[in-house]
Amino acid sequence: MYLKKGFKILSLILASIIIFYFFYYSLFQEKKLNPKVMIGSQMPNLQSKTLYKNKVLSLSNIVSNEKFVVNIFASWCVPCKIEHPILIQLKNSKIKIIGINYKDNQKNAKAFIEKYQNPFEKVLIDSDGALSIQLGAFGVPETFLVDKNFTIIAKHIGPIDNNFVKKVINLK
Amino acid sequence: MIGTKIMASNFANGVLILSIFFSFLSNLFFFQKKFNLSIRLFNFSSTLIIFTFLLLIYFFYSSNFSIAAVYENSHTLKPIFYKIAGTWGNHEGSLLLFIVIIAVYGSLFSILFNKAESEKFKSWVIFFQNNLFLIFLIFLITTSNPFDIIIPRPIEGLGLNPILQDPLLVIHPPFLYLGYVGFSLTLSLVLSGLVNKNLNSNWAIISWPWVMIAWVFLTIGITLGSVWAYYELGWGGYWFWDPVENASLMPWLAGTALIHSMLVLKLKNQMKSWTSLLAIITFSFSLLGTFLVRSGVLNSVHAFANDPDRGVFILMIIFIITLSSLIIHILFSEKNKPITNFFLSKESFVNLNNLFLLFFLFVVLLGTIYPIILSIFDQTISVGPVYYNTILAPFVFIFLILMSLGPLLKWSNKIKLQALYIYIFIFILCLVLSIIIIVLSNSYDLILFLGIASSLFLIFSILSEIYKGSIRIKPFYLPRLLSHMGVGIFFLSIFLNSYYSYTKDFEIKINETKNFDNLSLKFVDHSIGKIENYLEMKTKFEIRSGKEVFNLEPSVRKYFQPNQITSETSIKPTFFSNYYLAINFPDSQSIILGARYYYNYLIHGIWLGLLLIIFGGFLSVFKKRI
Amino acid sequence: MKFFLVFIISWFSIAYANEAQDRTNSITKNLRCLVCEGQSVYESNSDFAKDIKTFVSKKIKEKNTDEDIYEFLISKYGEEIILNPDFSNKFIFLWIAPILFFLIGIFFIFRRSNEIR
Repeated sequence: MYLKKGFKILSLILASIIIFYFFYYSLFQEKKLNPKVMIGSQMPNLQSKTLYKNKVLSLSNIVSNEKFVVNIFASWCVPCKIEHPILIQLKNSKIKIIGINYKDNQKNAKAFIEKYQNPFEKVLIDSDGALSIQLGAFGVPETFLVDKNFTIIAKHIGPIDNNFVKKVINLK
Repeated sequence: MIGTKIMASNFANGVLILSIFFSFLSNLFFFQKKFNLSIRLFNFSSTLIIFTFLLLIYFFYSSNFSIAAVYENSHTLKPIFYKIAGTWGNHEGSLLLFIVIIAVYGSLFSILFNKAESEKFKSWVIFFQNNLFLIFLIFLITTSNPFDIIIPRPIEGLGLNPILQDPLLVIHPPFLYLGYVGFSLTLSLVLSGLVNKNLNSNWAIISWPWVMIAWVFLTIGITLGSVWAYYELGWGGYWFWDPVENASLMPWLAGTALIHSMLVLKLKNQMKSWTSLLAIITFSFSLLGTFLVRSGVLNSVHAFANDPDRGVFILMIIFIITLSSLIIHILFSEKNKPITNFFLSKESFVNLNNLFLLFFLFVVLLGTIYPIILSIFDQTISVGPVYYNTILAPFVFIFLILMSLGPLLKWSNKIKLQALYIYIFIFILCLVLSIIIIVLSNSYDLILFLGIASSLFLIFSILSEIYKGSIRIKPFYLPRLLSHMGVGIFFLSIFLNSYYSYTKDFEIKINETKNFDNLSLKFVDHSIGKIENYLEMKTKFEIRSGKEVFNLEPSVRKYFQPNQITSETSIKPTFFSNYYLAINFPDSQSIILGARYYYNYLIHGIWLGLLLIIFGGFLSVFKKRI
Repeated sequence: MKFFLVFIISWFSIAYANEAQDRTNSITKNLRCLVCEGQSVYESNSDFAKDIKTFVSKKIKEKNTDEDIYEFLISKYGEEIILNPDFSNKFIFLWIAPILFFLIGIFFIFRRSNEIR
């Protein structure tokens, strides 16, 4: 009788340790957005009109055989202003940055770039979000680091920071 | 002046600590078998905690930003109503409310329950309640003290999530809590019953109103949440199987099973061990709900705190409470004599009821945590509404039919099949009626057919019962008749709603008219204005549906900090249905407006069903006997 | 079992009703709005959801099959963008476990019943 109860209690405690661990583990998991999917895959050869010349260009026309950064931005996006100085800093380290202007008014976009300096090699216009979807993006700002073989090395959601800059600089 | 404000915080903290102290003392005297004193100390301690809650309300009311919780969740420009509601609109305040409710339930029980011969039972109940109280109070003061101070005192508060500024959402959490936390007393009653070996019919009679009132509050809480989702989220639905909604549904299902098994305990003095297990499960799921909402395991409208450390603490509390309750259950539960029932008896139908409800619970639980389970194997997946609907639907039909038959059977006795003939006739009638409805509406679908038939059967079998007893309906049965009727109407409305409602998505320019079959919508007018902390675009549509002509005026708001869009739907209710229109915030450069129009059939039926369920439960609280 | 299959198939046939414009809706209803809380792309007003809606209807106009669209979106956003589980391997437990639970329960209840004994 007591043995049976003891056994029950023991198995109960064991079971709850397992369940506890399960919930405990889930607490510390990355939940929000999952940027892992695109990493390591081929950068799609995005194609669109550019902001200044109004002619259709694709990524491979702009860069070849070198690492580069793709940055999705919009003039109405507040965090984009925060990361702008870092983009300028990247540009000054001779990194090519391709801007994707996400659902924006072209006048506002140009004004935005003039006001805060232009870090972009070229700006592709993404009028309906289609380019962003090809990149697997969730919103603005988002930034991708691509190596010379057009493979996506890193993806950053939200305004980029110095860690991201380090990743860019360290990449061959 | 600043001095007094700081004193306010210190004072509140002092009262909190005093409350913990007396709660400890209560335990101490309990172990010295000074039961009376122990109960009094608990009551004193809960009075203190209620006082601190009133203090916190006052700090919110007077916008005392030297209190961190006030600073983070309030703003001087907020209307008084939302200032006060802000008290429980954040993690710290809501936890304090949680504790207050534990205290109130415990104290009310100690005041209202006065039977000289059960003093030992009573003091054990208060002992368990006191310890639940104490655990959460320690949690409050160590990780989430609402009276933390900020020096220097900020001039302005940070405000409240705009989506939470809604009257329904203000009263929704307190009702949910009165339900969730109400089950804490159920747990204490069960544990005390186990320890004192008096978990019998008499126990069930004593406990009944306390279990029922918690259940009623939980039902109200869930209903309010559902009504809010319907008119605020802007897509015509009332339930979207969101993990947080599921978290409130799980204790409800367990609690409903508990109520039914308590009936057997009350009348037949059976199912003791099972009933106590259900009570433990019910409160554990209430706690799990709190964990899921509070820990940030889920990202949701409802989640406040994304602080894993707090999550760990809540998780530990859940495991301490559940594990120790289960151990008490194993140690003290009396061994059941092997009981057998006739299959066509009330006992086995209560068993079936429990099985179905726990099955629903299992499905909801599995669907909610399956993404978490798979995330351990580095897979990311979602479990959406189609899963729940597909797997639950067939079982709901059977459940409804069993629910119609169960109450007609007898306790511990076979029923003569002849007595059921009339119901077989009613069942056939329901099948015929459903076929007629389906043919007339030209929507041939098996699910719809079975849904209508089974819920009609429940409704008609109750009507026939009322008709048979019409000369003198025993008040005794009234709660059950009302609640079960509510369930019938609820499911009938759900099935009809999901098949006869329709949606039209369209894009429209000003002065344009969109025509669908016998429906036309004209975008008449719009205006944009800046109001307080948001931009609001108001619109006016003229709708012609059949012969009816009316205006709908939906609007959208764009809040600045945090940047968030909310949609204010416009609903025109008629007797059978709702006409419902919601619009999107237009893109910056376009003048085209995206809109969605719903014809929501019989949505009132769903609310009516829920109301009946609640009302039946409420009557049952005050039922003298049984 | 066949009975249940009929259920499930008829249920799905409702969920995925086929009218020209409705194809977009049925797809977006089965896509999770990844930046929202518990909503599908169809229900949400967020920029993300709007983009996906535009994208899906564009793809449908370009004569892509539903599978193509799903596959493309999964490659970009991962499996979690699919809202509703299907009957594939990783979901099998999700469908089987509740049925097992129910059968075990039924077994216990029948064991208690007089007539069967």
